[in-house]
Amino acid sequence: MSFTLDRADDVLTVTVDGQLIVTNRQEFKQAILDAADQGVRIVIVDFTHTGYIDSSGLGALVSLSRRLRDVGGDLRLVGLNDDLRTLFELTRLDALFPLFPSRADALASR
Amino acid sequence: MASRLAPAAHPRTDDGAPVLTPFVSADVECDPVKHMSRCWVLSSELTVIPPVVEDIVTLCRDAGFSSKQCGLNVPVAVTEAMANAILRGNDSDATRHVEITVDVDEQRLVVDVCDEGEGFDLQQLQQSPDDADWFEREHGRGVFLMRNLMDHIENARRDGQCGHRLRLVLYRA
Repeated sequence: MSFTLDRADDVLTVTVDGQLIVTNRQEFKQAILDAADQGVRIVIVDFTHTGYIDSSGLGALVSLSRRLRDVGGDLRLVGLNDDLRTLFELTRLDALFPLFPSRADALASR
Repeated sequence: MASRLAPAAHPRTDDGAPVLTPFVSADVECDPVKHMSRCWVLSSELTVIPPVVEDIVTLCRDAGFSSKQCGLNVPVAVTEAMANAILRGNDSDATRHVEITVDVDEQRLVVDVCDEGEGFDLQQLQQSPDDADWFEREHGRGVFLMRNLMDHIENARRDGQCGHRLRLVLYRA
C-alpha cells in the first residue's frame, strides 16, 4: 500500500497502489491536505492499481472532497475497476465524485 | 480431526442464521478443497488487518467464490469488522486481543471477529445513504457496508467469555 504524488501547477495526481483502508487513510488524507494548503486545487486520485477501499478510505475521500470544494477545487477519481464502481454505486458516492476513465479525461474537464 | 470439524448440513438457528461448528484448533484443514477453518489471535493493531484479509480471500478463492466476492465483498467486510474490533471494541489498546475465526466451504463463508469490548446494539446502527449527512460525514459507513456486502451479519456477547463477537456470513455466488 503506497501512494505516488505528482504535482503540476495546481493539479495533484495521486496514484494509490494497493488498498485505501483504515491502515493508510490518514497518511493519504494528510498528504492531500498538505498539498491543498500549498495551493493545489484539483486532485485526481488514480485507482487503476487499487485493490479495494473500505469505509475509512471512502470517508477520507468525502472529507477531502468537501475541503477542496470549500476552496474552489475538486476531487476527481480515475481508473475504478468494476468492483470499485460497485462500491461507489452501493454507497451512492458516485453522485458525489466525478468519475473518469482516465487521467486525460479528468484533466480535460477543467 | 475432520469428523469434529466438518459441517453436517449447515444447521440454522431459529432466526435462520447459520450455526457455526466450534473451532478447536488455530489452523485446521479438514479437507484441502471443501472445508477450511482457521483462527488468529492478534494484538489490537491495525497493521494486522491486511494479512488476515488476504488469507481469508485466498480461502474463499480456493473454495470457488466469485471474483467480485473475493475482490469486494469479503475484503471490505472483513476489514470493517476487524477495524471496528480494534478501534472501538478494544479502543486501540494493543494489549487487548482480537480473535478471528473463519470457516469456509463450497457453500458459505463464516467469519467471527471477537474483541474484548462491551459490544454495541447492531440494530441501532441503521446507516443509510438516505441519511441527511451521508455525503458530508467522514465516518459511519462501516456497518452499512457489512450489511450490504454480506448475506447476514449478527453480533452478541461471547458465551461464557468476556467480550463481543461480530459474525459475517456470505454464501458463495
